[in-house]
Amino acid sequence: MPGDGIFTTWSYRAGAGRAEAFLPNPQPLTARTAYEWGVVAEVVPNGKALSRARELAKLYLKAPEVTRRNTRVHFMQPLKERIVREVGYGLALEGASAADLVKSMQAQSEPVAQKGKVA
Amino acid sequence: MQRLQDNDLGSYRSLKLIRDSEGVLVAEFHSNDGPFTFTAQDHTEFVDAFYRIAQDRANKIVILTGAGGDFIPRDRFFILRQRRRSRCLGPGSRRRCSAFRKPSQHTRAGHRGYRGTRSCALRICATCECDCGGRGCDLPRCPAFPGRHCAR
Repeated sequence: MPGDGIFTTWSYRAGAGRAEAFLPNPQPLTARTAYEWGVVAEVVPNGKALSRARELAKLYLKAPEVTRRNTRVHFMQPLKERIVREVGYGLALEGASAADLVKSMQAQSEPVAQKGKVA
Repeated sequence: MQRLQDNDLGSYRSLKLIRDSEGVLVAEFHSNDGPFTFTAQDHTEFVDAFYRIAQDRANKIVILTGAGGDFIPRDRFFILRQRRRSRCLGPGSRRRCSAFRKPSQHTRAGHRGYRGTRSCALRICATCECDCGGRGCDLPRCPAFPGRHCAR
């Protein structure tokens, strides 16, 4: 259902065109595809992700703390802006979609219940 | 600046927090130490957990991971089924929904006041004309409630 933060995040990371094609019919993505889309920066063998993350952490810790923090701020700021701009309205869309989904579920179950009463 | 105490690192049911001496915090999602199943209660707890993690300058770097080699392989939300039973989402319905029935969960503190397993459906309630039973609660303080104000 549209359109909480995950819609925003996929659009931001993978690109709006890919997200528009992918999200209405989501399928499992391979790590290779995620890499090719730019959603992840690196793919490592199974079981190696945490150790690789620790290696990267050690590398990042060589930079001064304020430099690290402000570098992160630089990369997070555009995503935060999109989250703030889109998620409130997106959740309203999602809520309305959820309500519609429940109504359709009720509509499917009610004829069965009525049939049971008649019987 | 609030700092996570060592005993706080173990206070979340589905989030194992381990910080080393260099300030690298590993946050591992898990369910009973196995692959993680994301539930409504976790949804509530993680808001608090990551708020506090972000506040704590002792966390120099945060690594997110999941038990069993998976990140969040499953979820288990009963939101729709619960709401259907309570008829909160019925056409034109305007009634107090079960998510707000416990007075002890209603505080003036906004989002953090809605804790516990019944707080899972807040954002859906926002669009279903659901009355909030909390005295003086102010839903616009929650980011998921654009413009909705309830005061009873």
